[in-house]
This record gives sequence, C-alpha cells and structure tokens, in this order.
Amino acid sequence: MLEINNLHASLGKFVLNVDHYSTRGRKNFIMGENGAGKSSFLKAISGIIDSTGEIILNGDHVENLPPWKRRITYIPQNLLLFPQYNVKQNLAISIRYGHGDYDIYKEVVDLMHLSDLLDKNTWELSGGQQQRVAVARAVISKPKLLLMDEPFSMQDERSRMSMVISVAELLERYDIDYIYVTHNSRDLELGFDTLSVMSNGRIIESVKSVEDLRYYESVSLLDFRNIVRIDGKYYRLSERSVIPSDKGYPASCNRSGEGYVCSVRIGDENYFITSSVMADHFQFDLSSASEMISLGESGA
Amino acid sequence: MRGRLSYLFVPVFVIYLLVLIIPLIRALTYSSLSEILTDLHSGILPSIEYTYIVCAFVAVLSVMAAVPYAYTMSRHRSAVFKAVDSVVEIPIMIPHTVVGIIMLLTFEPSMPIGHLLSKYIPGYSFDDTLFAVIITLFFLSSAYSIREVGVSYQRNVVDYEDVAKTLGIGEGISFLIISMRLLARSMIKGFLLSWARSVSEVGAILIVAYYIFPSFVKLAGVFIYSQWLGYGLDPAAASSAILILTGIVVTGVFRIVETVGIRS
Repeated sequence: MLEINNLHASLGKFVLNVDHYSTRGRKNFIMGENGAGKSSFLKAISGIIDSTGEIILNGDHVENLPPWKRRITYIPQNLLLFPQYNVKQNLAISIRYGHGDYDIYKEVVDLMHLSDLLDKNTWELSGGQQQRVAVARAVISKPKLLLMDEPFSMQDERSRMSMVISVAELLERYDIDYIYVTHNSRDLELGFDTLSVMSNGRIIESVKSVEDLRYYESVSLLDFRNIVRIDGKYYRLSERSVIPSDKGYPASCNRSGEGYVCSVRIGDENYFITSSVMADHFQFDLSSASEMISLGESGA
Repeated sequence: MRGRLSYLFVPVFVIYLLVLIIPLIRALTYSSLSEILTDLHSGILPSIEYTYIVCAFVAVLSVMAAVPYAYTMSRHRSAVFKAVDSVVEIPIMIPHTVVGIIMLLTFEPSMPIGHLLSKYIPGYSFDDTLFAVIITLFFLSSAYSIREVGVSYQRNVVDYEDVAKTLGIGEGISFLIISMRLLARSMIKGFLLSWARSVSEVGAILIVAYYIFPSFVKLAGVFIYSQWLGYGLDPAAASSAILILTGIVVTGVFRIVETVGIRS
C-alpha cells in the first residue's frame, strides 16, 4: 500500500501539491485532463523528480531514498526501451545491475510470449510488442509498486483492453500493486480498487466507485454529456430535466442510436445533452437535475 | 506537385550552396598540382599534423567537460543555472584577437592567476607555450561540444536514465550503461565540431602562441598566415589547398565512424 502526505514539487511554473493520496488494493487508477500533473505525480512517487513530503510504501518511508532503492518502477507513455540493447538485454538489465529475478524473467518471457523477440532490436518491434517488453522489463525488476503512465494509449481499443487485462493478471501473479494513469474511461470497466482524479496538480478526489465521484472535473472526464453550466453552477441533467422547446437555449441535434445528441449553446459555451426528441431549443428543469461541486467553487 | 514555396526556397538553397562551394573549389584549383607538391616541403605537413593532434586533444577535453556539464545542467533548472548556462556561448561572440588578449591577461605569469600558477608549477610560462594553445582553443571551442552533448542529453537521454533508475539500477551504472552509450553519437559530433573550430582558429593563437616553444612549430592557420605575409598568395594558397583537402578527409572519416559506429 502506498500513502502520500503533503507531496510538493515545483516544475517551472507548474506546481504539484498533493495533500493526501493512498492506494487501496492492487488496482489503482488515476485520471485527469492533459496537464493535470498525472505524469509529474508518478515521477515524484518514483523519485525521478525531486519533491518534499511523505511517501510511505508498505509502511516504509521511501521519500528520502533514491529512485533505484525505492522498488517503484515507472513505465512512461513512450515506454523508453533502451535502444542500444536488444529485447533480451532490456529484459535482463535489472537482473544484472538491479534486484531483478532470473526465475521471474523466464516465466514472464513465457507468459508474455516474448521468446521469439529476445534477439530482436527494440526498433524492430511493433507497438504492441514494445508494450509487452516494457511491462515485462518492469515486472522482472521486482517492484513493490508499478507506475504505468498510459503505456498502452497508442494501441487500438481492442488491443489496448486486451493488454490491460493481461498486465493486470501478470501483476496479480507477482503480487505487484500498481497505479495506472489513463485518459480512457473504458479502462475503468475492468474494475479498480481506487480511482483518483487529478486537476491542476492536485488529487481532487479518490473513490471506490464512479458513482461516488462528486466533482464536475471528475465526472466530466468519464462522460461530458448531460453536464451544463448555468449561472456559474454545474448541473448533471436527468432525462426529466431536459425539456425540448421552441424557446430557451439554442441547439442543434444529430441522431445517435435511438435518440439524439444535441449541442446546446449556453452563454459562450457549447454543452452536449442527450434527448429522445430533436429540438431547436431546450429548457432545463434544474430542480430535477443534480448540482455538482466544481473546483472553482470549493477552492480545493 | 511542388508548392509555391519551392520556387522561393530552392534558389536560396542553391545560392547558399554556391557561396559555400565556390570559394572551396577556387582554393582547391588555384594552385597547380606541381605547386601543391612543392609546397608539401614547406613545412605545412608537420604543421597540419601538429595542429590536428593538438586540436584533437582540445576536442577530447571539450567532450570530457561537456558530459558532466550536461548532467549538471539537466538536473538544475533554477535561474542561477540558466544564467550560468548562457556563459557558454560568450567565447563564441568575442572577437578572437580579444580572446588572445583575455588569455594573456589571465594566464601570463605577471597576472594574478598566472602568478598563482607560477608559484606551484616550476618553470611556468604562458605565451608561446603548448598550454597557451590548448587553453585558448578550449576556451573558444568547448561551447560546441557542450551544446551538442547537452542538447542530446536533455532531449534524448535523461529520460532513459531515469527509467533505468526506477528499474533498480544505481545512478552511476545507469549513467554509464544507458546515457554514455546513447550519448556516443553526440559526443562524436561534439568532438568533430570542437576539433574543427580549433583547427580554424588563427586570431587568438597569433597573440598567445605565434610559435610554440620549444619545437617552433606553428599551428596550420598561423603557418599559412605567415606564408602569405612572407611569400605572398601562391604558397599560402597551395598550403590552404592541402589543409582543406586533409580537413575534408578527416571530416569524412569521422562521418563514416559515426555512421558505422551507430549502426553497429
């Protein structure tokens, strides 16, 4: 289990400021918009960037340890397989120079179907193969915690989901907890123990279920439809609160499945709502909508 | 189909190449073959050999300085370090005769730092010494290596090193087995740039070491300058052709080494 208290890091103008964060169980997800600080957060946890505050891994303070002693392995989005080494050398590098395990190496090569790739150069691999090698290299290094910064984002949806499932199984087998940063809400369908949302360098909330999300910034990451901002407040619209009309907010609708997805102009912004009927204007019954907290209002 | 910009840019591109190539061709074809062969006995060959070796030594020093410099700069992003970083280019913008003067002001035994050095180094002197040549060329040419290696390290290498560290590989080993190998190409490029810059230097060397004692060898640029002053254009042109030819050969060899080395 990872616990973080008062983590602070400055990266130029960007400030990472996490008051508290903790993982529960094996699968921990982090979501957030571009520039929210997700990568910086993972780098600070792994020790790649300097930070202040407490980082407690399985009860041990690791904040003062250098990255190579933390047993926290980081897989970046661009994977960074070492180009001067072939696949075998990439996989075995932590065995030779770190605390990697040869028995795990043999198993992982087998489990991830890498035996045919061992003598290949890294640039000869396909995107999917590179991802498998990056994960295998990380697992062989025997981390206590694995940080994955959207390493599968360049794959098509089916391959990506398949990869996420195999990696989850592999990490379960070797008892490795992980934090997985993703943009894609579909990843959450595979189940998670904690979902945390980052915004402006802060963890704004951590939940066990998407139904528990309270912030506009969090909910809109999962589905931006049926969320509107009226008079400075964010509302999540129910089916009853959307009222097609010949006056109100102007809209343009396109058919989507059984109903319509309509772009509604409110003030200077466009919002997307779903409606069972097509209309040029909509009005909203906010009494049947649920008001959401936003970072701006809470000052979080 | 070519865009309109091609019609604008291609002529500029061609003119640029002509500006580079025509003087080189002129220098290589001005002297007859017999003039060049005769000039081989003028002393230019030992001078070129000496120049290339000294400049190679200076280039090695520059690369050796560039690696720790790049490492330090990539890990310190404060305003102080940024300000320090801007100092690197200053030697490039200073007129080279001024660099010579600066070196005298710094390292002559009668100056404070030179005086300090003379206290600890028996028989210390500065002008017309190999040390004067090396320190002056290093001052002028190290920026090229530092920028080449520094940019490569910051853009392409440091992230690999960081990932290696999270795999449990210690700092020193990560640097050696990951970064140094990835930096090989930029180190070769940096070496070549610093070497070439040193070979081309005349102005500062004229001031600090017209002759280099005790061998009385002149660096190639100075040698050709003295030929021009003493004997006129023809022998200087022949020596220039020899210098350019050998320079092209050395640069070509480096390109091959760089390409083959990286492929392997």
